Amino acid sequence: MDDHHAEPMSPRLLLSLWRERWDKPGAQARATGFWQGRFDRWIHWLTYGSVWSLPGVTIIAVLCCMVLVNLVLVVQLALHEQIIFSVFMVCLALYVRRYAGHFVTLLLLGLSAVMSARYLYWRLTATLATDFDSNFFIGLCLCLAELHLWLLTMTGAMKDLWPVKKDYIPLPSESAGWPEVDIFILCDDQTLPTVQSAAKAALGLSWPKRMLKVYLLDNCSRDAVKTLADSMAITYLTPADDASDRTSRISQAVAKSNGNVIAILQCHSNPGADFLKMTLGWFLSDTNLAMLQTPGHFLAPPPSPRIMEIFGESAIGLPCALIRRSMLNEVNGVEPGPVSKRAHTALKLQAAGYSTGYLGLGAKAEPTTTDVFMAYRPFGDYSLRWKLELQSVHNALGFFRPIPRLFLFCAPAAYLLLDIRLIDTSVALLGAYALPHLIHGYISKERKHSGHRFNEWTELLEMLLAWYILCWTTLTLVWTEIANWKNLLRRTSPVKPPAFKWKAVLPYLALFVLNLASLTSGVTDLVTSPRPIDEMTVLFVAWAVYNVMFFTAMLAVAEESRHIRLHTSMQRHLPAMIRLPTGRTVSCTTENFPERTLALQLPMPIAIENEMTVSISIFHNNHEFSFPARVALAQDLLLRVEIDGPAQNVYNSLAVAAYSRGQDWPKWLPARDADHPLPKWLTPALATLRHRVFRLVKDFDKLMGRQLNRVRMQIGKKK
Amino acid sequence: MSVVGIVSMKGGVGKTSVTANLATALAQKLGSGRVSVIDLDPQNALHWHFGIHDPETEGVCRQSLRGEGWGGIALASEFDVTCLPYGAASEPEREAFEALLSKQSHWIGDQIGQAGLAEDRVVLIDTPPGSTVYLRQVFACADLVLIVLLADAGSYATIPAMESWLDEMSAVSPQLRSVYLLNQIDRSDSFNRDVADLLQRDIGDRLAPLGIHGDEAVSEALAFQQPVLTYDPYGQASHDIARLATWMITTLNR
Repeated sequence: MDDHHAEPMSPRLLLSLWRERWDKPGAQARATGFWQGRFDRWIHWLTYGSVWSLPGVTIIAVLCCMVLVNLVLVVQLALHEQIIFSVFMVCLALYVRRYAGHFVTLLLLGLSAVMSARYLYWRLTATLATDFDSNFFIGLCLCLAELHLWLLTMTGAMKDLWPVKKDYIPLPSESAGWPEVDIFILCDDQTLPTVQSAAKAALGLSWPKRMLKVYLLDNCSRDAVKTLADSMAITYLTPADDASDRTSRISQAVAKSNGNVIAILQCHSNPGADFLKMTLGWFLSDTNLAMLQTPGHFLAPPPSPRIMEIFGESAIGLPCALIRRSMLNEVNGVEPGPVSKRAHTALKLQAAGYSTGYLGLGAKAEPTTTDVFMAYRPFGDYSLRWKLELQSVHNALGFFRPIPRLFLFCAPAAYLLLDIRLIDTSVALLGAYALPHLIHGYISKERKHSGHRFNEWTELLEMLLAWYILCWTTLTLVWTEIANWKNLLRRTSPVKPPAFKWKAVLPYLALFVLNLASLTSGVTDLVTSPRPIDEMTVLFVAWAVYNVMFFTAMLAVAEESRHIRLHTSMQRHLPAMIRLPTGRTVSCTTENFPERTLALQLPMPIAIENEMTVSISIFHNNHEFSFPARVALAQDLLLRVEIDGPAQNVYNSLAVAAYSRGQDWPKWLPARDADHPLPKWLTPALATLRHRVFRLVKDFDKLMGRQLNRVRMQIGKKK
Repeated sequence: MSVVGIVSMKGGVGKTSVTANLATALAQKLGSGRVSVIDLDPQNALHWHFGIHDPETEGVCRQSLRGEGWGGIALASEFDVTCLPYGAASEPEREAFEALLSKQSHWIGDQIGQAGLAEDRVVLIDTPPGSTVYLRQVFACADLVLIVLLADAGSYATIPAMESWLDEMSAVSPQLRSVYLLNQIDRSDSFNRDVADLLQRDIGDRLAPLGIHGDEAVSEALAFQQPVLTYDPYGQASHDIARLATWMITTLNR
C-alpha cells in the first residue's frame, strides 16, 4: 500500500487500486505465455538472410510489397468473397499470435494495418452517401474519426516497437578475434578500500590478460591510490588541467588508451567475472553497434517507460557503459559539459548512423545468461529526425484524441434520434469489413500490452485522461491570457491548478444520458415498427449499449477517484500539538502531513526560535504519536519543523499507516471474475462442448482414414 | 438536573483543576446560569480557580451544620459558573459534618434536590481523595462519576481499590456510570507513555475517549486564579477539556 501513496494519484494508479479491489493478480501474474516456436526464427532468417545484400533486391521487394498492399487495399469484393478473405486473414493472425517473438508481433501489426487500411478505404469509397447532404458530411466525420484513431494506433505501435530485446550472444571459441578492452574505473571521492576492491574485480574479469587494461580515473591526485595502482600494475590517471567534470576526464583517458572497446565502470558497480564474455558478443555480431549502457546511465538520455517496462527489476542495476572506440572517435569523443548535455554522446552516435542499446545486468551484480540482455532499435538505420517526427505526429494526434471519440460516442444518437444515415451500406457487408478490422486491431493491441494490462482498461484510462488534457490545456491557455490581462488592472493571487472534481466529469455524464436516450428510442423503434426490423437499427442499438456500459465504468472510476482524493486531502490536515521546552503546549493542525518538513498551522503566534527542539504530537484515529522535532522556520502563524534522527522511521510508518486506505466498496459479487465476464457455470459447459466437438472431428477423421484404407485395399485387390 | 462527581483514590492527580476547568468549559458551551460546582474537599481550594478571594465565606460545611439550605452560600463567578465552596471550618466542625454525612447517606443528594435547581442544570462535585464519607455521598447522588488518574505507578496501584469500591457501590446505585479520566498525559515521556498504554490495555473500555494532556498552563492558570480555558485558550489542555465537555454533554443527554 505504501508505494501507492508515494506517487501522486493518476488514472494508472487508480486502475491498479481498482484491480486490487477486485482481488486481481498484478501485472506480472497476468503475463501471457507464448510458444517458443520456429516462427520467429524463420522471419529472423528471412530478414537477416544474405539475399538482401544483393544489389536491387531491397528495391524490388519494396515495390512488390507496395503493389501487393495496394491490391489488398483497393480490390472490391462481393460479400461472400470478402467473408472468405477475412476469415483466412483472421485465422492466420490467430495461428501466428500463439508464438513468442518480436518479429511475430511486427507481423501481427502488419496484418492489422493492412486489414484496417482496407476497411477504411472501403468506408471512404463505398459507404458514404452519394449526395452532398447532412448524411454525407456526418458520415464523413465518422469516417475521419475512425481514420484518426487508426493513425494514432499505428504511430503509437511504431513508436513502441523500436526497442527489441536481444538475448546474450556467445563469443567465438577462438580468442584471437576478441576485442582488446580498456576498463575505466571512475573512483571519484571513493575510499581506498572501495577503489581496491573495484580494481581487484576488474583485474579478475574473465578475459585474456594481454587484451585487458585497467585504468583508475580519479578527480584529484591521491598518493594512496597511486601507490595502490602501482602495486597492482594498473594505470592511475588524474586530470591534467583540473578538469572537474567526469566526461572530460573520460575524454583524456580515451586519448591515453588504445583498446578496441572501452568499458566505463563505477567503483561500486561490480558486474561479475563473466561480464565481458556475456556482453562483447553483441559487438562482434553487430558491426554497427557503437554503445551499450545500463538504463539511466549518464552517457545516454533517460529511457522511455516502455524500455523500463522491458527491463523491469534489472533497470535498477549498476551503472556501466561499453563503447566501441573507433565509432566514439568518429563523433569526436564523449560530449563534455553539464549533465543534460552528456547524454548527447548516445544521440551523436545514433545521428552518425550507429546503433546503441540498453544493457540489463540484473538486479544482482552477478550476470547470468538469462538476465544479461540488451534492447536496441531495429529502425536505427533511419535518421534520428525521422523518429522524432513520428513521435511528434503521434503526440499531436494523441492530443486531439477526444474529438474522434466524441463522434464515435455520438454516432448512435445521430442515427437513432436524428435519423441520419451515417453508413450507407448493408449490415452484412459492414460486418464483413469492420469485424476483421476490429479483431486484428484487438489481437495486435493485446499483443503489445500482453502482461501489462487489458485493452478495455487502456481504453478507459486513455479516455479518462484525454478530456483532462484537452480541456485543461485549452482552459489554461485561455485562463493565463485572462489572468495576464487582469493582472494589468489589479494584482491577483496566483491561479490555483484545477483539482480532480466530480464537476469535471460532466461531459461524460452528458454523453451517458445521450446514449441512454438513443438506446431507449432505438428499442422503442424496434418494438413498435412493423416487421421485418431494420438491421441498421439493431447495430446502432448494440453500439449504444456498448457506449452506455463504457460510460458507466468511467463514471464509477471518477467517483472512486473522488473518494480517494477526499481521503488524501483529509489526511494532510491532522490535529497536532506542540510541546514547548517550557512545558506549555499549543494545539494546532498539520498542513502537509506526510512531508518531512512538517508545516503546522498555529492558532496564535508563539515565541519560538529557529533550531529549538520541541516535541510534536500528531493525532490520528484516537491515537497520539509523539516525535522530537527541530524548528526550521517560524513565520507568524506557520511553523515549519524537521523531524529527524531515529524518530523519522516512526514518522514514516505513521505516514504509511495514515494513508493506507481500506476498500470503500464492499466486494461486489465476490464469485464473479472481472476479467472473464462469462458466468462460471457456463465455462465448464463450454469446455465440455469444445471437447465433444474436437472428439467428433477426431472420430470423423479416424473413420475417414479407415474408409480410405478400405478403398485403397479394394483397389489393390482389383489390381 | 445532572450531577457529576469528580473523584480519585489518590491525592495530587489534579482533581480540583479538572473540576474547575470542566465546569468552565461546560458553562462556555451551555451558557450562563447552568453550571454549578460544589466543593466537598476540606482543603477548600476550588473557589480559588474562579478568582473568588474571600477565605472566610460561609460554605457547605457550616451551612449544613446550621441546618440551613445551600441557596444562600452560592457565589457567582465571572466565568458563568456558580461556586459553592466548602467554606472555612474548624476541625470539630469538619468532624461533625462528616458524622452527619455518615448518618444520612443521601444528605448531599437531598440538599441539591431541595435547592430547587432548574432541570437543565449541571452540578459538578469535587471530592477529597480516598474512600471517604464524601465519596460515598457523591456515589449515592451522581449520574456520572469521573475517576481521575495519572499515568504513573501510584495511580495504577489504586485501580484495584477503586474497582472493589465501584463493585460495592453498584449494589447501592446501579444506574451510576463511572469513567476513568487520564490526566497530565505526555507521550513524549516514555514512562508516562508506557503506563498510558498499560491502562489502555487493562481498562481501555472504561477510559474516557480522550484524556487531558500535561500542560504547564494549567498550573500557571491557578496562579492567576483563572480557569485554563481563559488563561490559555489555545493550549492543548484547554483543547482537551473543551472536547471532554462536549463528550460529557452527549453522555449525560443519552
